[in-house]
Amino acid sequence: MLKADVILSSTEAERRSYAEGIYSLSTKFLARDSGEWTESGNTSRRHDYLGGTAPGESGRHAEAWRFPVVEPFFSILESADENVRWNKVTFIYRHNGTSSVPTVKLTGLPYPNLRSLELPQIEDSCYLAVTVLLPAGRLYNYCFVVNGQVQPDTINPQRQQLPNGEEVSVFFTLNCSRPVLFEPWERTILRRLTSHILPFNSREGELFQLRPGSGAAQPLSAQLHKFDHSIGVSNYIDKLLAREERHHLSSYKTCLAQINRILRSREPFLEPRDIPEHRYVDLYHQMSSGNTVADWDYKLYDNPGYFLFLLRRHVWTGAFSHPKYGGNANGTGWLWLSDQFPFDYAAALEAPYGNNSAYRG
Amino acid sequence: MEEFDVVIIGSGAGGAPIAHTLVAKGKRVLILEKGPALRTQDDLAGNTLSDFKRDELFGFGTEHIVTIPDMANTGASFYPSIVEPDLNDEPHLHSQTVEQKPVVTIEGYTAQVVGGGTQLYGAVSLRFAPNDFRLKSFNAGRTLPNDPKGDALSQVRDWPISYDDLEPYYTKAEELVGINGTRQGQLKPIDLTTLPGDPYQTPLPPNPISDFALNGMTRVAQRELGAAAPVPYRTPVAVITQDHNPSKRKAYDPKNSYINRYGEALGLKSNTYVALLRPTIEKYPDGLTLRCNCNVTHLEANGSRIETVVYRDPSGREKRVKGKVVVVACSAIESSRLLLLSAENDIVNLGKRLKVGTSEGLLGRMFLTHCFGGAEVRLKAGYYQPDNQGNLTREWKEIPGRRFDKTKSLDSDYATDFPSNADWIMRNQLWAGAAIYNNTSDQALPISLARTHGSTDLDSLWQGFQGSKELYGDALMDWLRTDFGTRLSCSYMANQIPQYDNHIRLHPTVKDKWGRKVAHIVKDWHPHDEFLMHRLAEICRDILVEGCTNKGIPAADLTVEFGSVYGMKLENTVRIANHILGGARFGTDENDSVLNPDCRVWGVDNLYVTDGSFMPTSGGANPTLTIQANSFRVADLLASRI
Repeated sequence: MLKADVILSSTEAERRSYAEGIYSLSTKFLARDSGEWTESGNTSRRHDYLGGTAPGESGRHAEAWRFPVVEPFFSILESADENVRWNKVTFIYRHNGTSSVPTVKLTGLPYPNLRSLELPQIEDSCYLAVTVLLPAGRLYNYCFVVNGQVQPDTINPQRQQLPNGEEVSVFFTLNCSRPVLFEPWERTILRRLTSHILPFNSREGELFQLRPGSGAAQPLSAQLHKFDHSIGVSNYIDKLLAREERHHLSSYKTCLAQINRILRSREPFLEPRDIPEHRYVDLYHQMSSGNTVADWDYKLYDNPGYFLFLLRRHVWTGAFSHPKYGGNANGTGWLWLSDQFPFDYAAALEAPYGNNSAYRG
Repeated sequence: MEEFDVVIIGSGAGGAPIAHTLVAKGKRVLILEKGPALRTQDDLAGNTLSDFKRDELFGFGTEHIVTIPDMANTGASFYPSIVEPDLNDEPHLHSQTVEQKPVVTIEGYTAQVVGGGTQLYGAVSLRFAPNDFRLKSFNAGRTLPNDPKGDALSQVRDWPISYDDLEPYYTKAEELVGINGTRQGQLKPIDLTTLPGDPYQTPLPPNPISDFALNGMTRVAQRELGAAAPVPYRTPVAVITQDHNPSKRKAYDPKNSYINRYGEALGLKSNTYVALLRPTIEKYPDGLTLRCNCNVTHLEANGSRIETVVYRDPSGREKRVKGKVVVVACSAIESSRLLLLSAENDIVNLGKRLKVGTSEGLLGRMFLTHCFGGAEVRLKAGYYQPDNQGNLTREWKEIPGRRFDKTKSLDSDYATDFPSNADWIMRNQLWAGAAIYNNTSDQALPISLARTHGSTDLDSLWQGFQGSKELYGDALMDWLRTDFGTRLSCSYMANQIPQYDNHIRLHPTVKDKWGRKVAHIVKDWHPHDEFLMHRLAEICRDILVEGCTNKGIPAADLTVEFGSVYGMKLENTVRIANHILGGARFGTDENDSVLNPDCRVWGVDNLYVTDGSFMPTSGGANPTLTIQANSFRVADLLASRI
């Protein structure tokens, strides 16, 4: 039976391998002399897209959203279903290398045995790291205690302010369906928008759901009642904007608010979740046309078509990327495609999403 | 300071064969690799996962944005995989002239990982044709069409080695790397007299969609060459289909469409790590030292020898090491850049030896890629049925045999060498020949289908799909019905005319995260390149159209596009593309080449360059196997000298 715990290296060979693994997770992103474009006469940060990665050091580092590093877990002793419920999470602190190596502890994880974990120095490097086994699908807060001083992780751009005013770092593990960024009303509008873009609520989608014994396989039947609304695409976007594409969060926040306001003005007696599809489609057309959208506040967001430009890519990747990213729930997008077309996705993929006996995921 | 017999910079096709050979001969070898060691499942005692994933977002990452100030595409999106550099830390810049404002580009197949580009490549492993080694001689006395200045052949050189010189090393590479394919029909001879058998492994059954290409290749070759037409053959692909004894790899079914552009989780794709380095480390743990995440910043010379290799360790701290011999093999763009940076640091000695900053200096010059492109047909796979009044309904009727599961394939099934036939080349007024092969795995997965929809290169991924505002709901379904599993493509790979003005230089102001000047690639096509590309694209079109119509599909049911360099539009032909070659060509004349025939830098006693930089011409086929074969050749030379 697995439990939240530190993953230790017991032999010298394992320690060496672990050290190489830490370098491979860190060097490309964190090792550098310059995090700015100083040579061009300004000090803009190399990885601060649209000002979206603001806190701490994150805009100086490539793909700062990777930290802490969350990875799938595998144990040959456990079933595929059990392995999917757990993740390896590696916390990495990089010291500047010029002063003595600090004492760094990890604090804030909700397990008694993980309340205060020291990050050991990795060989003689600038990296201090610890890897823990944590349940997948959850949100976590944490801080580092550096030489006794509590502070958020300066690399990870995800932060949260606690009710007591304390700022902590935040991350979520894979297959997470708990909302991170969006309010309920935002999620409602996003679900409606995404479901009208995708082909799943077309006649073919309905037939797929209704066809007995067809591609709508039994284990997925529990999800199918939601199929015409979402296969988790809005959840995928929520996670994508929290990490990899944080730079587009303000676009979503601004545009969802405008869409909410416009839809309510056009259907004043209905909540957005109940507004008929044609209202969403009409607005989609107006936004994508390049013409002026009535009631759109162009001072707040001057190009409504660009929002749809983003949304189309996010919807598609959410529907058909690996379920660990939060969309394509249980592989339903793939299953739908394989019902419509010759597409044996399961032959290549790991259990529980596929049936390849060699590849583990 | 540590000292090794050989220090190799880069662990890909140019570096790994040298390590494999020299360690086996008792030499102490250090490989410095900029990227990480990403492991396969069987690397770690069978109780863990591969660092590579069958995951479309792993193959091409999420959106990044170019932040470098004042570039032509500042603010544009790019989508690197886990092993490609972040362009805001280590960019490559590209323009057609020095004066033009450059774009920041992800093109160029720079893979920072143990195994280098062989981790990402599609693994098509063709030999070059014998005439690819002697194009100056082949073209002696000829004039070419689309050569308004008469300069097309001015920088064309014969290689200082012949096909026959390299042939034993091709065979060695094919055996040690692990390649499946067939030989009959190839215009690239193999000497089997001293071998126990052909080193090729047996290919797996082709994807049924490839039958159209096979039929078309056969018919068009006969049309063009009559009785002299060679038969198509199964494309040599560096993916094992049987257990591979030299590398002790076990075979599984590799047909899964997570091969091209992906690191392979089970080690089935024969990248240089699983094929050459891992077996070497296992057999000679004290002979080969592999340092990953170590970025070489420059070389330091003392007189005519490179004395020190200076690099950053995984923490970013400067380290130094000595090698009796230093081999630079970190891909053509980065190798030229490393030598230029080293020369700039020591202009008095090393700079003078490399002739950097002088009019006769050739380092970085004659940068090459391939002329490549092809054709694509889309089969009409069905139609919406009319109702009683003749109006179209949403009831779709599929036409059998027009749609295929393209995930059940490797990158290519069939190839033909008839465009390498000398008579055909002459008759078509081309300066060099080509290989043609079909592509089976492209757009096989749903995200790759959308990502490449309407894009012309790796820098314009997603733009077509994102911009197709009409694609939603039923229209998206229509698009899938039209495009998913119905596309068949065919590519040519041909020599690009070498030009002095096509070169790698150091950009004067843009610097990487270590404060080093970045590579600026100046590259354009010669007018004859466009002539050649257009003719070969027509041939690819004919192959697909004839193959399809002869198999019973009416021409009206085919949507045909053809052109150059993926984009299928001749206007989009200026791109870097994936095969980066040249910049330090080898030759017999010290004043006309950067490397001598052994790939040693003229004027420096212990410095060798063995990635694609050495090529004076880019060959009429994918280059990796030739780079590997040449590295095995150089390794044998080095073994006798150290």
